[in-house]
Amino acid sequence: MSAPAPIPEVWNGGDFPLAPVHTGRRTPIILRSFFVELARQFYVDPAMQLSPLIKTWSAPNDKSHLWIDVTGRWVDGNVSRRPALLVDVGDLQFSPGGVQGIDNRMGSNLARGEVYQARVATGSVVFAHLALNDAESVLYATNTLDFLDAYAYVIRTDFKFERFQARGIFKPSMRKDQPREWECRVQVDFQFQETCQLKLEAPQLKQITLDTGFPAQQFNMT
Amino acid sequence: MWTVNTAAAPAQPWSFVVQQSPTGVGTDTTWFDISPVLVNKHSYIEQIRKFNKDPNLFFRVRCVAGGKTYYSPVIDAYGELNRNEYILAKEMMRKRQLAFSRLEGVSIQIWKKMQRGVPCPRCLDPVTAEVRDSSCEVCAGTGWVVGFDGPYPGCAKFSTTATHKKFADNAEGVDDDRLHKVELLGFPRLIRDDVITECKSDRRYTVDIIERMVEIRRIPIIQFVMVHELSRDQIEHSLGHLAVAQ
Repeated sequence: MSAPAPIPEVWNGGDFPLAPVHTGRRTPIILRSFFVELARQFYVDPAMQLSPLIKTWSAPNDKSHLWIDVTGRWVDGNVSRRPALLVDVGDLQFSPGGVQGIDNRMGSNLARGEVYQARVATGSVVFAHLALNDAESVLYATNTLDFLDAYAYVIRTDFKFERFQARGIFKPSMRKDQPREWECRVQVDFQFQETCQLKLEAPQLKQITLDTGFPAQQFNMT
Repeated sequence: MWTVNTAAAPAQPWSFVVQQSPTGVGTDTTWFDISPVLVNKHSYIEQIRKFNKDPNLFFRVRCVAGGKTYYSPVIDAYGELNRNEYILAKEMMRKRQLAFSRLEGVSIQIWKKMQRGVPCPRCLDPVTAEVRDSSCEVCAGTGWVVGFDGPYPGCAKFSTTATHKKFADNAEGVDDDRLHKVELLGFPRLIRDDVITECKSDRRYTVDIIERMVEIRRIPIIQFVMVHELSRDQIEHSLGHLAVAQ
């Protein structure tokens, strides 16, 4: 996944330009999209799958043989869509990344009025494979596990994760209200560090610079 | 045991084979041999047999003699009627069928899920024989080539009992379960996973629970089943086209 283009500034005609929130940070909304796109890239090429029985994904999502999406999405129309791979990003826990381990402060540059902060984020993501029988759900879960094991190193280095590894694959379970559906889950734990730089100008905050480590997305808001 | 009508007996030798079918009707593909070829023998005893609880035990004897093939009448293992009772049962079914067709029912087709046959060469696990593709084009997710036998035409009365569209567990997708109670004649007997097609709308339903059966000496006259409506992307919507493609 390549780095997004720099966010352009939007001038409102007044004294201060406006700019949207920087999207380079790995907030939950970004993580959901990231893992869904990752799963779709796993299943796009039929030659890369574990078995010829595995259906592949193709855009648009609602016309694909394999449905890959986030959980919590209300879908009207044809709601069966099996087999399916649903991505569920879990809680994100933050811990201080500061030098003293107390808070997020890394340091400061008084001359430039800048404060540097860092934090460590830990979380997990579950890939839930839904199918109409247990063997099929296990087949898809095994396929996803193969991809995660194979590309874990690449994902860690390319996307700056300190930790990205499969924690486990759980035995298939029948879904409570749908006796014909089975679910097999693959859980992945991840950890990454986020840094940001705040520029303060006395007496009021007039300038904010957010630098999250992606040089192409650094911008100033004044 | 069986006997041959000697008045019109063909030339010897007579070869007999005992056959079984889950429906008692249909083409030769639904009948399978359960005995070896018995030459000039009129009985057969099976030594080892495992049955489930489904009342799908219809038998007949195929006789090959004089270059021709003959079939005995089909018998049911679970009950028998004398002539008066047979006529009574037939009249009850006729009247119920009339009510379905004239007043309260819709035309349907019944697809019986195969329980024996040629194992699917495409999607079965080679060790555990599990079906690994629930929408397999060869077996329709049943594990047996073709997958469903039929269609058997009929009439049925539908009663909607519950529709509930909601998030599934853990908000993993949306569940839209539509449950119906269906009343239809007692033949062919339905079991779980059989498919009913409503002819006019092409809605398809999978049988879940056999709720009740009206019987005379264990011969079903009317059956009441609970069915779930299938969504349009499931393989059962290809039945008919699938059978033709085979």
